[in-house]
Formats: sequence, structure tokens, C-alpha cells
Amino acid sequence: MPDKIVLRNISKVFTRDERELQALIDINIDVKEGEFLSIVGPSGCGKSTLLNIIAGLLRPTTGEISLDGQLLKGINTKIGYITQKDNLLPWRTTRENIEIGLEIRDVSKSERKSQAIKLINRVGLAGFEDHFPNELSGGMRKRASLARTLIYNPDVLLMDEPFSAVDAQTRLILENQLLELWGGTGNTILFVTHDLEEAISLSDRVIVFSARPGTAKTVNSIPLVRPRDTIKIRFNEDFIKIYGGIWKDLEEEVGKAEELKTKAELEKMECDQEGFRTSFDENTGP
Amino acid sequence: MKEKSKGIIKLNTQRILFGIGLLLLWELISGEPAYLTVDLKVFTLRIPYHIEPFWISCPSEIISRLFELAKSGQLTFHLSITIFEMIVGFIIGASLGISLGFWLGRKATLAKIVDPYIMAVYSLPKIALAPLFILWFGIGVDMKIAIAAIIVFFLVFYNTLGGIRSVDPELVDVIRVIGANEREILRKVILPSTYPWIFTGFKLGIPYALIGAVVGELIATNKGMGYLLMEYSGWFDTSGVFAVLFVLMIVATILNLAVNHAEEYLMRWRMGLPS
Ligand SMILES: Nc1ncnc2c1ncn2[C@@H]1O[C@H](COP(=O)(O)OP(=O)(O)OP(=O)(O)O)[C@@H](O)[C@H]1O
Ligand SMILES: [Mg+2]
Repeated sequence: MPDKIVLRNISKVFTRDERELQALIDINIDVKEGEFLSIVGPSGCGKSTLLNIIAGLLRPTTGEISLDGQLLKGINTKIGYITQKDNLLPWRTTRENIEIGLEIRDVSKSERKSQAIKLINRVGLAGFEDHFPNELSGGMRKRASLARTLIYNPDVLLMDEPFSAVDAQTRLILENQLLELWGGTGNTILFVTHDLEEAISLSDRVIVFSARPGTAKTVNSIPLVRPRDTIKIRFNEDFIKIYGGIWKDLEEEVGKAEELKTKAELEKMECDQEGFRTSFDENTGP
Repeated sequence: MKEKSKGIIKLNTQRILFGIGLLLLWELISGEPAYLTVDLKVFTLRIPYHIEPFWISCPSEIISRLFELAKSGQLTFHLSITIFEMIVGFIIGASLGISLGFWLGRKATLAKIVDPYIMAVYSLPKIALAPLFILWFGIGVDMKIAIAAIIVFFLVFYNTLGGIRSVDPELVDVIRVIGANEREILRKVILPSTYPWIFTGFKLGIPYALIGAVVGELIATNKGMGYLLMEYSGWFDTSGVFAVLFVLMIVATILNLAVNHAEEYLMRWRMGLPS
């Protein structure tokens, strides 16, 4: 399979309040055409940052991205991006939200409507087409944001923890629906999650990210047969073996991320104390 | 459902009875001055139970004055002038407020530079501009329109600006990745997310447009509800003054109700309005 997305030496440094924060370092990933690739990693390791870079919303500090062999410049409108928040437009109904991609592509009104209705049925939102986002449950909003992306048929999907905000049961159902929708399309999916079980049950390959600064630590093939049932597959012996193998790598990084967090908190406390001390000195000075 | 509508009927009946009670009390109190004298040895307490109609008029007088005003066509004439000034002032102020708000909202640097100056003009009590407007526009309808317009302008302008600054950048990003160009972003994301803010500006602006028009008429004019007020006051006609106030109160109440209904209708998808 040819490479769909190629990431070369990507790094990202954020500067805020004159402090530098290295979010990503030295990322080299080839996403193959038609594969389901997951990235797992601890919170704050730069997963969303990487997807934002691939979507062209952020510029990498170093490195380059190519899509279908072409160097990416500016906003990447060839991909579909399902962000961590569902980001539906609150003043549009479910159907109007889903239609927006076709509206932008100047598709006629009747055609828009018929395609939207088809997708609404496919993602299981029938009966809610005229509801506004604040009248939908978290799971429904996720489905709507998925449908909004699927409607204009991007052949690459970036998905950032799409199911992290929904309850465990709904999540299993949504995962299966995602595999069904994807099956046979030949589309490429880059899926970000911090749930290793989810990553393994969905993907062809799983990349484990290190704690900040994030980089690809291990790349793991998942040789489980398709079509899969994301619920049943968890009891499969191979699944359990694969899980055990990858978990060791991930556990270590999650531990490091926790340390980073504690350190940051300690630093912050020290800063506050120093601030307190200076102001105290000022107050009691001559 | 039935219980609820029953409750509403009951509440409304109570409200009407309360109003009638108030009017009756007013009617009874109004009359030749008379006092209840209580001798407390040290001094005598005189409690008035009738108040000279010159000060407070009385409901029956006010109602008959209202009928007179309506029959002579005076009411329609003056009221339509005030409402005309209010509406035209509102439209001018609101459209300038929206346009300038949008224009400045998309020019961050310029906005920072001019911000203190706009704030300074905004802090000025707008009514104090009336003498200036008399010089510029004369004492006709134009000057009242100008007062109403400038008050409405600032309310709508600041709300529009606030709305543009609070657009969720993630929404913009997502729609951009879907393929929207700048014009589509403006039309499909930025404009609609400012609607509730602009509407808040309108909501505040409508009663102020009425205030602007009436105050303008109080200052200098020969027509409109404010003029009528000054006329009656000049003739020491308390009933006339109350009659005009009553009409203004009705107009303001109708406007408020209309705005509230429009709000409920428009804001179905928003739980609350930005404050
Ligand atoms: N715009 C920004 N400016 C400064 N720092 C940022 C910015 N965006 C992200 N960061 C920092 O970069 C790091 C990586 O953030 P990112 O959101 O990519 O993590 P993540 O892996 O997606 O985490 P999560 O799993 O919690 O979503 C974090 O420490 C974050 O605070
Ligand atoms: Mg994230």
C-alpha cells in the first residue's frame, strides 16, 4: 500500500509567557492508504497538537507533512477532522449541521437534503434531524459530527478521542458502527485515543506515544482478522496477548506523564510561595 | 396542563383585581383636602385622607381625558410622531452599530488604538448631546432621531463587538477544514454566533430609543408625546400629564412584551443570552 500521509521530523514548540514548551519532538510516521492507525499516549503528550498540525491549523516548528505525495501548505481541506469537542454549530439543527460540507461545495438543496437524511439514518440519528445540538445527548452529538464529516467523503479521517466523552456502553456501540461505516470504503483513518483497548480493537496498527515531548515510541501491528466485533474481540486470546505487550510500553509513559504533572504542580506552588514571600517582604520592608 | 392553565387564569384574575383595587384607592383618595385629626395631648396628628386632585388627579378624570385626546385625533398625531422618531432612530443607530461593530471587530490593532476614545464618548451622558444636536439639526424631528440613534448605536455597537470577540475559534477552524473560505466563515460562523449578542443590543436599545425620542421632545419641540407632556404641565393640567404618561407606559410595555416574545422564539437553541 502506498503512503497516504507522511510525517517527517515534525516537532512543535509552544511559547507562552516567555516560556517554551516542547510538545512534540522528532515525529516520523507513515500512514498507509486504507489503514486504520491509532495513536495512544498519556494526556498532554501532544496528540491533539499533532492532528492540528496534520489538519493545517497549526504550523510545526520543524519538519514537513505530505499528503498523497504533495507537500502540505496551509489548511488541509482534503481530510475530515473530527475534533475532541464535537464543535457543532449550535444554531443549526442536526440536518443543517450535517449539510454544511455540501453547502460549501455548492451542492443543490434537494441533493443536500437527501444525502443528509441517508447519513442520518446510517449513523442512527433518525428522528433527531430537526433537533438542535443542545437537545442531543453527548453520543448523538458525536454521531452528528461524524456524519458532518462523512457527508463530503474525505478519504482521510482524523479522529481525536471521538468517544471519550460518552459512556462505556454507547462507546462500544459507536466503535462497532465506526468499523461498519469504514469497512470497504478504502478510507484512511488516523485515530487518537488514550484507551488502549479501543485502539487495539479498531486498528491495523497502534503507535504508542511517549510522555511530553511526544514522539512515536513503538509501532505495533494488530494482526486480528476483520470484520471485527469490538466487544467480542476483547475476549480473544490474541487480543489479550497484544494488549499485554503494548500496555508495558504505555504504562511507563503514563507514569512519566504523571511525574511531569506532579513536577509542574510543585513548580507552580513554589512560584506562588515565592510570589507570596516577595509581597510579604515588600509589605514589611523599611 | 389543565392545572397549569387554571393557575394562570387565577393569577391573572388576582392581578386584574389588584389593579382595580389600586385605581379605586386612587379615586377615593383624590378629593377636597381633608384630615383625620388625632389629639395626642402633646400635639395633634393630622393624617390626610384626601389629596387635592391638582397633585394626583384621579383615574376617572384621566380616562375621560384619554378619550378626549383619542377622539380629537391629537393622540394619534403626537404618538405617531414619537414612534416615528423612535423607529427611525433605532434603525439608524442599530445599523451603524452593527456595521461599525463588525468592521472594528475584524481589525484587532485598530480596535485597540481607538478603544479609549470610543469608551470616552460612550461614557458621556448622551442626553447632554441634545444642545449640540439642536445646533446641527434644529428643533425638528431630526434632532430626536439623532438622540435616539446615538443611544442605540452604542448599545448595539458594543454588543456586536463583544459578540465577534467571543466567537469560538475552534468552530471557525473546523468549518475552515471542511473547506469554507473567508466569506463563508463570516456568513456561516461569525455572523450567526453574534446574533444573540446583537439581539441583546436591540433588546436594550428599544426602550432607550423611546427614552431618547421623548427626552428630545421634552427639551425642544412642537409635537410628539414629550411636547404634549410639557404642554399639559405648563397648563397645570395634572390629568393631561397622567394621560400622556399612561400612553407611554402602554407603549413601553407592548415593546417589552414584543421583545420578550421575539427572544423566546429566536433563542430556542441558546439556554441563556450573554449578559
Ligand atoms: N496553543 C497552545 N499554546 C501553548 N501550549 C499548548 C497549546 N496547545 C497545547 N499546548 C500544550 O501542549 C501539550 C500537548 O497538548 P495536546 O492538547 O496536544 O495534548 P493531548 O495529547 O491531546 O492531551 P489530551 O489527551 O489531554 O487531549 C500540553 O502540555 C498543552 O498544555
Ligand atoms: Mg487532546
